[in-house]
Amino acid sequence: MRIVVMPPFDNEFFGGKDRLDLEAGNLFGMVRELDALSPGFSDVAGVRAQFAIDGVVVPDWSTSLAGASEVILLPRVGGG
Amino acid sequence: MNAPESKRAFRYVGTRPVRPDGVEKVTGKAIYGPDYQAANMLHGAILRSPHAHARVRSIDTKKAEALTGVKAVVTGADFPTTEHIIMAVGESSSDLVHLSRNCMAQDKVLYDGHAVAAVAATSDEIAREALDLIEVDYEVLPHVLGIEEALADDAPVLHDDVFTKGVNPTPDKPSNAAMRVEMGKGDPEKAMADADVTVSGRYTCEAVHQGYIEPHACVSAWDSDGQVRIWASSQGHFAVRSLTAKILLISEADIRVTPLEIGGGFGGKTTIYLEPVATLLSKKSGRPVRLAMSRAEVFRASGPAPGAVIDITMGANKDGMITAVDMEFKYHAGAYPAITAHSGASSALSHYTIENSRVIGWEVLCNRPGTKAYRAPGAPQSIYAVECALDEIAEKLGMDKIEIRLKNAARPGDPNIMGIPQGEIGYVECLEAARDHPHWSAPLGPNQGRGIAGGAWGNYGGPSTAQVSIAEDGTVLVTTGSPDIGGSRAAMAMMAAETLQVPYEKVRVAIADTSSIGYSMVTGGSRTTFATGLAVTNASNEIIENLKGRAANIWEVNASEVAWGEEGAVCLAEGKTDETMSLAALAARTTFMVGAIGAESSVNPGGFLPGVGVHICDTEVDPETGHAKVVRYTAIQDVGQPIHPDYVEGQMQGGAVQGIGWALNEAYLYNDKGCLDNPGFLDYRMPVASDVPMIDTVMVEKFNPGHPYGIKGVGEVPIVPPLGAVACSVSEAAGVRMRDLPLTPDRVHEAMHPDD
Repeated sequence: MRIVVMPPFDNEFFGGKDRLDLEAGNLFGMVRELDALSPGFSDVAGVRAQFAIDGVVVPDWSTSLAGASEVILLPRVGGG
Repeated sequence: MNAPESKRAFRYVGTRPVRPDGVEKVTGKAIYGPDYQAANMLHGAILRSPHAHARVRSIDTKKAEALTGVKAVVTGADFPTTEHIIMAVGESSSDLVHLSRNCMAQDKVLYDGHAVAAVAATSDEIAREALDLIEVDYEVLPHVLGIEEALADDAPVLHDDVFTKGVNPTPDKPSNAAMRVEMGKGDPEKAMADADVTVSGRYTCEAVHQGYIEPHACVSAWDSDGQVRIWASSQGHFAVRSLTAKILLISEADIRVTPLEIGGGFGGKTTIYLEPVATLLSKKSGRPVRLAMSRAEVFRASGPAPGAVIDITMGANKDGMITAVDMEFKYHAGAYPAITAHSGASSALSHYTIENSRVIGWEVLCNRPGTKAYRAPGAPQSIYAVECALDEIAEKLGMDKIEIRLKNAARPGDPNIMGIPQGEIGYVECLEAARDHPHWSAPLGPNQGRGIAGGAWGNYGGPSTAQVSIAEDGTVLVTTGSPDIGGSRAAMAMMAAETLQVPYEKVRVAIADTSSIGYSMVTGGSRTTFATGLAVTNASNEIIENLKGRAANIWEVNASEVAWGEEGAVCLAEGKTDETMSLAALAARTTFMVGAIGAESSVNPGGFLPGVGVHICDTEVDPETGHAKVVRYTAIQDVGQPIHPDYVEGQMQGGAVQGIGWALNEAYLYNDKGCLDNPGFLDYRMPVASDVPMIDTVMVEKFNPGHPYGIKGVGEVPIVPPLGAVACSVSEAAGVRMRDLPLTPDRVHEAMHPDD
């Protein structure tokens, strides 16, 4: 499935690539796949990253990716 | 005020009952951080750097330790060595080493006011006397305060281990540019070239403090069994626990943080400054220690919102469709990397649908306190430039300033700049409400101008835990882990009352310490009424099922044959349809049924929706002095379903006034040594009641289908539009475009009279 990598993660971890093609059963698996591409990503993912599956931000990383076509990796945003 | 009645048929949600914390607060009895006293408590004080940038060669504490009454002295050497791991700080994150060194400098001081040592003594006077006896040998280093100056090739570099994130490849040379983000879509260069009209400008604004009335304060007790008790006001006592534990290398279960009343936070109390220091002082002295910042310490050493330099070019066709935006902003990060560049970039254009855009954001280190959240962090600055540029485009085209916004407004389902559909947002409805509001068509007086600006913020969900239990007399106890900074106790009680169908007055809400309830993320990002409210609602629904089961057992019918209503349990079984049993009657059977009636719910919900708003501002400028005064102000916002409209309006009014201060008055004034010259409310000029008119509010109620009570976060957005609304208003009144905030009288006068 298509992974859209938002900045700064594209440059910070994936050599400037903002589109990746990976398969995983759920978002935990997706983080493992991303960490395999860029070791160390999983160390920061839990506190810096969030994911949207087909346009919906999904807080629970155990959510199945079966049938999903696109995952957006984006930074978590802290409010005030 | 403009407060339409709730359109939904709720009994309590949408009403305005008396706030449960009101009496204690207005009578001065509520216990805030600086008020708290523990038995046998010592008084702490912190020695702070008088230099903006210096290496600490040595610290000699012997004379201070010898002073009668001094029980402990702490320096950076007492702090454990921590690793560079990224810690969650509220919804954001920070490097643990930076968090620790911000609490107490170790090798370098990075800003005027940076903590270098702390004392605990039997009185506050002795503690402060002892500070004067601590000898610190500094090697003063060149400092840098400005954004552009910090990026210059010859600028002093604050950290030798910070390399610009977000660029490829990662630089091998440390830099004050901590972060770069770039996002966008389409072909902005071609679209700009094809545009019928374009505008360009550089907009600037200053770093500003949140201005919470209550200073940072805590009491910490390191008990003889190695466990720690902390009493503190914060936006998240679980965050206080986890950050203190990680900095001091102790387990979270060994720290119990009890939340106190909080006198304002606005994002500035989502981190820690004092708790590890007080804890180490307590460990050394064997007694509880209180630390409380003075107002000057708050200004010198706690995090403001970033100042900004923003360059923007905007293009449009002759019909007013914005065809391209190209902008680059640079934000102060202060002494340590922050995380606002992404939110500034992702928020900048989120309330408009623009096909071609490029937004570049930078975070820039400088010798100021590390920046922190201030409502919608990162959004007011970038959106200020966008709204002013839009204003200029409208003027060039001769278009109405609401019509041009309506033409480009994001509609429900439109994707934001990251490609994520925005759901049921009400920006169009807000603009229409502004157009129809009498303010928009009211005549202006001499030397007056009118500005309008929109704004948006993404909002959030996040983990929350809530417990609901029924006392033996049938009254209801709601317990959460979310500090009440904006009326959440009332909102939680109202949602519990609505769900359980019991009178609001029968519900009481408590905020539990970290050892008494499961984890909840900070109260921030306008997430608490949404997320914690969902947990309360879920727990209340679970209790209803429990009560229906109990009633069924009493009546010897199936639970499916019991309904729940205002009268309590209602039997639906054939032959028993007259039977009802009140909540009180069921609760009275607690001791001879299966025990207590209670439920706990933990949630981490999606379904949150962005907040959007539109503000209209009238100002009057005195041409002789340049003084600009706000004479009329209207804040319009899509608030979803307001739970307690008074609180929602209060958020809108408070955020608007804070934004007005940002636009008109507020700025940190540093001298040539990099020291803050205005660390107090007399010289740091926040608006007071006499500075502003009544802020009229219009709540646009667009229900959030992702929440049982339709909630949208409301506390972030109100600070976003004021910068643009005020700047456009003053520009119109002055007859000259003003792009540098704050719009102080000298600046306005100079712009109006350039030849004087």
